[in-house]
Amino acid sequence: MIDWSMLPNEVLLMIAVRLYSDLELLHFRSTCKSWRSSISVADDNPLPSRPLITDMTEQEDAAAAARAVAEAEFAIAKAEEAARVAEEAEAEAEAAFIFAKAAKKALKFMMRSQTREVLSHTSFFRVSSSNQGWLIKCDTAGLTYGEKFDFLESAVTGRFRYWNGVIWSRIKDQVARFCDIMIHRGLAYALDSNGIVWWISSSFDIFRYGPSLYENITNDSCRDLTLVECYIVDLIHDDVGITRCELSQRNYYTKTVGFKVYKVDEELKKWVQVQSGGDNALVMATDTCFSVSPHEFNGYLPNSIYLSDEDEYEISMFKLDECSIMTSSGYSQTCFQMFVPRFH
Amino acid sequence: MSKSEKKIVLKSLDNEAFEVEKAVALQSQTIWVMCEDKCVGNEIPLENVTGQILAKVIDYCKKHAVVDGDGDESSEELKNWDTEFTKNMDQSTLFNMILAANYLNIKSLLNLTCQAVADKTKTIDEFHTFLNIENNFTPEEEAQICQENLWAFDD
Repeated sequence: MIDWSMLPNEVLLMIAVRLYSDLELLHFRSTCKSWRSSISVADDNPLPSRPLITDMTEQEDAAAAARAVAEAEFAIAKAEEAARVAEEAEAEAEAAFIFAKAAKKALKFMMRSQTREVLSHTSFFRVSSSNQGWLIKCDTAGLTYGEKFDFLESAVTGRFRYWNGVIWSRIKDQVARFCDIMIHRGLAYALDSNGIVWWISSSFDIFRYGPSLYENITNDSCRDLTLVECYIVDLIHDDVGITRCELSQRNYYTKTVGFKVYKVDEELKKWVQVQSGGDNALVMATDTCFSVSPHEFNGYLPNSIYLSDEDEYEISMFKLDECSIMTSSGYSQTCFQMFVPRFH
Repeated sequence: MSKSEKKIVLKSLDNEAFEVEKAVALQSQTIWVMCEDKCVGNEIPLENVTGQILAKVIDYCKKHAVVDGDGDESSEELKNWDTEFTKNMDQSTLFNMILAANYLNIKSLLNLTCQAVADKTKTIDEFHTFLNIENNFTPEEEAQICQENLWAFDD
């Protein structure tokens, strides 16, 4: 029986020098006692400088990785530039700086954790923002960053981690493999590979939020998981009667101004924004949401969202293709005849 | 130069004798020193190497000696030969080759075999399964490793 842990130290060192990256060196040191003591990872370690990522022997891979890194650096530079330009709008500048910071962090994590193949096939960050957070995505890892959020999703492991100020920690109780994450009205929702939606709280607990794509609840139309992002402005009438958008805790009522509709792409396992809701009409009330087929209910317009704003005795209709809202008072129109009893 | 001076006999641990050209054997620094010291005759006992491994080592040395000698083969071909040489080696052969190369002090062979280990092992699992090494850390060490490897461990 041979015992690799009995290799002389100088031989172990020779092997260690040939391991390509920091990552593999860590693995090497984690093998057993003698291997661990054969080499230190302290700053004065005798190894020549190593790349962080694995095995860049193939030239094109190296080029691809270099490109990815360059793109990330470009994104960071752009964000920093944006931050400078936006100096007047302090909040924006701050957000941009946060983004730049997050992008750097994401890049660092990716550099360390992804294998060569993953990194070289990465088309880099896609960035989207909302009031409450930044969402930085790339094909292989997603990161959200904001005041409350600092997540990182690894497509390799399908797990989320969060930055606790010192290290990336795994969020507990992750039973599923996650594919996508998005911030919706300040809350983080994750989509797993079974099409189940999960909610990640600000204290980094994870809760199951929705049914599986494949669970048939009432009828077939429920198999299309649709996420509707509802844009609401709070209207305040100030002294001179100017309407402005502002968030306030008092003296306001809300008005829906638009929607963004996302569908789960079952192949990509991601939320994809769609311009059309298909043939169906979506009905949204304050506590429920369902879709109906205009073929079954006369008078509904396809590809539209029906809604009623709270405290308003009227029903509005949002046309997805035109991005416009129509309001109709009363219930005389044929299209609302199905609401008996009415849902107010 | 008489025939006996050009040839040299290497004797393995299990008493297998190999007669080789001196030029081939002298790629080993250890053998070279032994010959220089003239403390041995034409027969050199190698107490740490089995016949099976020694045969392979000699294969390697012959290949490389020939190339050094007449320059017939390009370095490209030699590289390919080296790759093939280690490619299908099982882990116990590889292990013993490393020890033999280390003992005989054949730099290029040691480089080659160490590279082979490095190539075959990338993850902790590969270290443990390919190399058949038991994880013999204490719980305290284990915890420390987990801490420093947080980003490296992916279940």
